[in-house]
Amino acid sequence: MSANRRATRRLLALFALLVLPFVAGLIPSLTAVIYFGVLTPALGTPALARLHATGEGSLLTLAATAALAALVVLATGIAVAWLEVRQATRLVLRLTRARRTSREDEPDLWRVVENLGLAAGLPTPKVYVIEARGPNAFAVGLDPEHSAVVVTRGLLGLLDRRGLHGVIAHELSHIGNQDTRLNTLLAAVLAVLRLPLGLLTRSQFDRNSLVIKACLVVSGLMAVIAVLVILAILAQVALAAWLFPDEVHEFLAAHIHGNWLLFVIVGTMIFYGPLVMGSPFYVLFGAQLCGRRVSRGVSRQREFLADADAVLLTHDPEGLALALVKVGAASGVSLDFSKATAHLFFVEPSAPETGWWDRGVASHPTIEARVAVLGQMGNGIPAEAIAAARAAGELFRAAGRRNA
Amino acid sequence: MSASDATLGVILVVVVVVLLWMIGVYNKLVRGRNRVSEAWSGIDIQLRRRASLVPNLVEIVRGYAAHERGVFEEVARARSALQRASSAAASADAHTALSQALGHLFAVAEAYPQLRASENFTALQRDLSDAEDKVAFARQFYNRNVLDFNTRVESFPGNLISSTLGFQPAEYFETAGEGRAEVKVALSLDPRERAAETPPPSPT
Repeated sequence: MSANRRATRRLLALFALLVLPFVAGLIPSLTAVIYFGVLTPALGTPALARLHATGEGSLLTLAATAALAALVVLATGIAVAWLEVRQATRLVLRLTRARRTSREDEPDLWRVVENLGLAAGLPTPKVYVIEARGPNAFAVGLDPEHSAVVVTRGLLGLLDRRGLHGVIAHELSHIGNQDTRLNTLLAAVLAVLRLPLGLLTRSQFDRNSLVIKACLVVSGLMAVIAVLVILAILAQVALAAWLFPDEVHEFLAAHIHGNWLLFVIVGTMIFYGPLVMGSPFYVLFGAQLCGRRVSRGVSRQREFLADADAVLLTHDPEGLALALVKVGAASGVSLDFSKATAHLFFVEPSAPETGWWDRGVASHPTIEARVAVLGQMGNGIPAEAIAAARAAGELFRAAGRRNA
Repeated sequence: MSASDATLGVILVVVVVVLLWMIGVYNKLVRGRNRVSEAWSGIDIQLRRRASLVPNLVEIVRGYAAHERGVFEEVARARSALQRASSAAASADAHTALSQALGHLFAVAEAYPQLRASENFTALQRDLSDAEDKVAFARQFYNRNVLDFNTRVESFPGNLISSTLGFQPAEYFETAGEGRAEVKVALSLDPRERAAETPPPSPT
């Protein structure tokens, strides 16, 4: 538990590191928008034009604009962070299009959740269902008292009672181990990191959308140019220091006079220009890609722990293992959710169509590894049973394809 | 500072450390006891729920088989024994006795197809088996907490102060015929190692 909490803290720090340049990148972008979009057209007014006639005046307006932009970004950031902590659970449920159920709608599912909740000593979580054929499940919530277990319709169709017990016990263990708190927050932060791109495209994230491609090309080019410019500056400095060491030394002695702070400030300003050029790429793509990689890395070890705790509840490692095999073989059936939530699920929600970036770091350990660990908890799992489970999963998947 | 002052200081420090340790152990024991009683209330709710379903069931069966008085009496006795039970072990025994009595009642009901087809009867039967399941699941959580607490009470050095402070080991809730195969739960640190030991089934 304490190791878990330490990992959580380390992770949140890492995430803060990711978010900082995101915020810093937003400031110059917003400054440019305000300066060129609002101020420049307004320059027609005589007062502003007179102010702008002097060099000092224009520098002043630029600085004022930047300050305004920074204020807006920071205020928005704080508001978003506050909202996120309060609304994270709801946000995740909305992102996955989960629907709340009552005891009367889904008596069997509810009974399983209630019973295993009793065995785990947890308050009965809310029960949500996603109307999707891809079999999967996850748990959300910032604390056990306000948690929810979410399963897809496909999971209920694919698994028998025994398998459902295993999956629900696994999800309840996530709640008991406080994994859901971190995962829910991560999902909410990721959703926000995806916002700028989402605002531009105003739609779900379609990898092939023309707008996304255009953004990727333009901002990517800008980022590449920025990197080249920075490299060029560095190369020039290095070359000068190598070829004319005496002159460089004299120049430094004359202009810096040991005033290193000034040197750092000027250096930073020289690099800030290219960085500003590169920032749209980071804001639109870089931050969410890095965030996704981090969130995927976190959840893996916890899956083994949740599997083990689930077996403590059900005393049935084979049931969970067979459910894993079935769900794994059937996965890939239409589950097109926001990628912000990938690390939450029982198994990887988008196995076959995953892009190269996400394949690098899987959000979950492989099903084979999980099954192998489960096999050692009981008396081993017969190969025929695994083969049968895989066949059932593949059949389910094929049926899904035909219907689609 | 004389030698006796130094000795006094050392003794004082030792006393304070021992006192702090005792406070820590005491608080842990109290927390464990509270957890056990909280877990017990989880079982108790389900036991009560089950007991409250019994009179309705008896009434329905009586409507078809009024002459089976012996069974009704057995069920009523078992139910009141369960309601009177004051300890975990006594409750568990009464729970088992009630299960047996209900088994006889259902055996009687078998002889009346009309009764078995009655919607009230099947609904009650379902509720009853649900309540039994829930007792079994709540029992898991309770016994796990009792195990933790008892380990703390009985193991050294906690046992030195637990007895003087009046902490008794808690009773398990054991019901006959519900023992399930124990499973050893081990978690390897490196899953890949484990996966290597047992090769994953090859895809067909």
